[in-house]
Amino acid sequence: MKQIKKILSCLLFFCVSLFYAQNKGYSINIDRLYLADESKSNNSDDSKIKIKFSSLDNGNYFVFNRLLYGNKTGKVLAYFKAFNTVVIRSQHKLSYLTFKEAFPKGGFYKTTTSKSLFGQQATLYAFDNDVLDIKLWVAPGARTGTGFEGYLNAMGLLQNLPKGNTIIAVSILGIELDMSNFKEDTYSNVKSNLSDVLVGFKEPKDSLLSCVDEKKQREKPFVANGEKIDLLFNYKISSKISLKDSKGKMVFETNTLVYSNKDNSVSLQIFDEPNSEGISFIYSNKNLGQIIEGTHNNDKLFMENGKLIDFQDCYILKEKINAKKSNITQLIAGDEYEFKLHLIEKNDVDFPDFTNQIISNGFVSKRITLTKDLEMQEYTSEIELGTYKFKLEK
Amino acid sequence: MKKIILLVLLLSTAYTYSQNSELIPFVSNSKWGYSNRDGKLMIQPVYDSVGFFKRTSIGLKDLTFSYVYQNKKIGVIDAQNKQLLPPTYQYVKNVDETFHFIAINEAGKSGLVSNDNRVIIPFEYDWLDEVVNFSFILKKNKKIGLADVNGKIVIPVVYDQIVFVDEDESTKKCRWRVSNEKVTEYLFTVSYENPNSEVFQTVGSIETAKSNLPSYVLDDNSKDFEEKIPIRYESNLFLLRKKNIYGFWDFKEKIGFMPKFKKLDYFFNAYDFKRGKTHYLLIEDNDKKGLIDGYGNVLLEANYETIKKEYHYLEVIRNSETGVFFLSTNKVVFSDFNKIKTAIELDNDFVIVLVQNTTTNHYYYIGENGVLFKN
Repeated sequence: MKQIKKILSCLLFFCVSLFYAQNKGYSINIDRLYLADESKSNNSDDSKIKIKFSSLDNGNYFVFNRLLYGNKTGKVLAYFKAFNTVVIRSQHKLSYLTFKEAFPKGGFYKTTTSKSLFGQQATLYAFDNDVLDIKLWVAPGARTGTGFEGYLNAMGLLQNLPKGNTIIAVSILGIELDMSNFKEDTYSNVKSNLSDVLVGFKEPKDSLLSCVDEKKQREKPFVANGEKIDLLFNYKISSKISLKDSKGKMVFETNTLVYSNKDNSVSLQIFDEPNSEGISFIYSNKNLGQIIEGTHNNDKLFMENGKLIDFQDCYILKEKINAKKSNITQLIAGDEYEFKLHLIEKNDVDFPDFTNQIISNGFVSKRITLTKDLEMQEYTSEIELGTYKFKLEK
Repeated sequence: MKKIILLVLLLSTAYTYSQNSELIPFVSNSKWGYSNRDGKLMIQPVYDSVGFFKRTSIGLKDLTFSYVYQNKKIGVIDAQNKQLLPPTYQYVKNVDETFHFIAINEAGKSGLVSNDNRVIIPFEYDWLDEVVNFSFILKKNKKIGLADVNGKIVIPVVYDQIVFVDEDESTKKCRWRVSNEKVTEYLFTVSYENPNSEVFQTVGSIETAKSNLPSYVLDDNSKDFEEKIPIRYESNLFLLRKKNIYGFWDFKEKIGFMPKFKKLDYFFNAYDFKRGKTHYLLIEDNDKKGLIDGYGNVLLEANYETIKKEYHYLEVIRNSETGVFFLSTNKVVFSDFNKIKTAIELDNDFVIVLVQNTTTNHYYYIGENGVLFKN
């Protein structure tokens, strides 16, 4: 009985694993192809139609991966559905685009070109992104919702196809392909299929590292002088921070409490428990360039050490508006020096002067960050208006 | 049944497209002809260059032919030196399992000719190549079409793309997907019935290696040696040392010899069905190298500066002269060449090497039987 239970639980685990790891791909499989244009016919070593279309992690990620040949690097497109973000790697450069920016016409759009395909009049639909020369021949017929058509549909690229129309052929790099030419594969590893986007480019870290290094060198210790000052804050910000690994397993979860003034130039972070160095608050004043750490007792803060630092950011995220709802603006942004994708929700209507590190003004109520290891960090915050007083003994 | 047996006998090598060893390119005064394996001239050397003879078959019929080059043009001759195609073409290629040749004429146009130079597909195409079902893709004015094995156009030359889809065994039809800017459709052509598919292929009986009689049976308590030195990466092979002399032992094959050489290094081994496993070891005397086999037989006396292994042969240098040692026959040949270009295994396992005299820039072949195919 125990044995049966074991087997059943193994089966269940296997099924669940399968469910969670649904990674499919379509590659082009075509031989005995003869072309009038010989420049397209060289389909051997430096194959020009070695392209893989992947749908990973139950459709969370979509990748157009044109495999490398010779010394050339093909463009790679990855769509991070939860972030509504398209990341394109061209040579060594990463671009982060909203879905609308990447596909301004909604993916495939109708052209005036038509011809007879297998006895049916078909219309050519062009693609509104230059990452790949791909076109669709569309004709009346029932949508299959499966195979390569299902893939494009799940990605949201077939919104312009009228109902009752289906794809009957695909033209890639000028080569016309039957739907049966798309071979379906399954993959086990999400990350390796995304690796061209996540890590497959030269990380331009040098300038960032030298900026950080220079800032570090400019730091000076700040000596306590016995001065006692009153601190007054306008906002109390309660936040929850969590980190999940690439498989969605929680790595850590914590809460933070920060008090800030109106423009967040002066803030105080209070810890429930002292950290390993015995520190239980961090006071930062951007106007004076000060950071003070120490212990606290209710509203009394006792300085342990302090430093004078340069608060200037070494880089600023390039944000793009994804959506707007009431006072909240949803933004996407990506780090240039390595793959790091942020989805930010910010109130810049009620808090236009509230400053942040590396991102523009506004109170950040939510930030989800996806790293190159596919770890996901989530930050949610609530803000309360009030008068919060503390006494700091320097 | 009788017919099949006859075919099996006749065609035991018919399908092979290997290079014929009965007629070997022979050079005389920079002109090429052919001799037999013994160097007896069979086809007079009148060509600027020649290829190896090959054989192609259709059912019971076969054709032995070779490409010959004259005045930078290519023609085709048969084994009796009968001119099949005159040397007037820029390019000629036999179509497998047919007697047809794809050719490019002096005007740069492609066509198809038979082995009697009869035009099957006229020389009016920019490009022509064989594809599945013994068909030919034709290209003209940036469009492609298809001709069958008899040169009949079965898909007109108006398409940008042609894909072979499948063949229906019941209807004996091939399905092709064709497309251009106006249409994409399926077209059907008749399946080609290859006469060769009715002929059974066979191979000659394989002469297996003579069983190696133990040449040296090792007794671990033997006084013949003092130390068994394992040979790196070869768990069954040992060098045997007695004082300062060495022997060799292959534990698995029971091949070896008692210590008798002052300096001995294992070189490599080779295996073929006819000769079984052959070990090669290097000996050294007065800084000169020699070669012995696994039985201790001296193949090359120790008077070579260099012995270098190549595919089918060893390149040897003696008194600064380059020579070739054939592994198949143990023959060593020195002549007026100073560079060995490559070795070629012809049919019947006959090995020849192409050599060059870099001073005169002359090339010629040497056979494994020691014959120089030149005069």
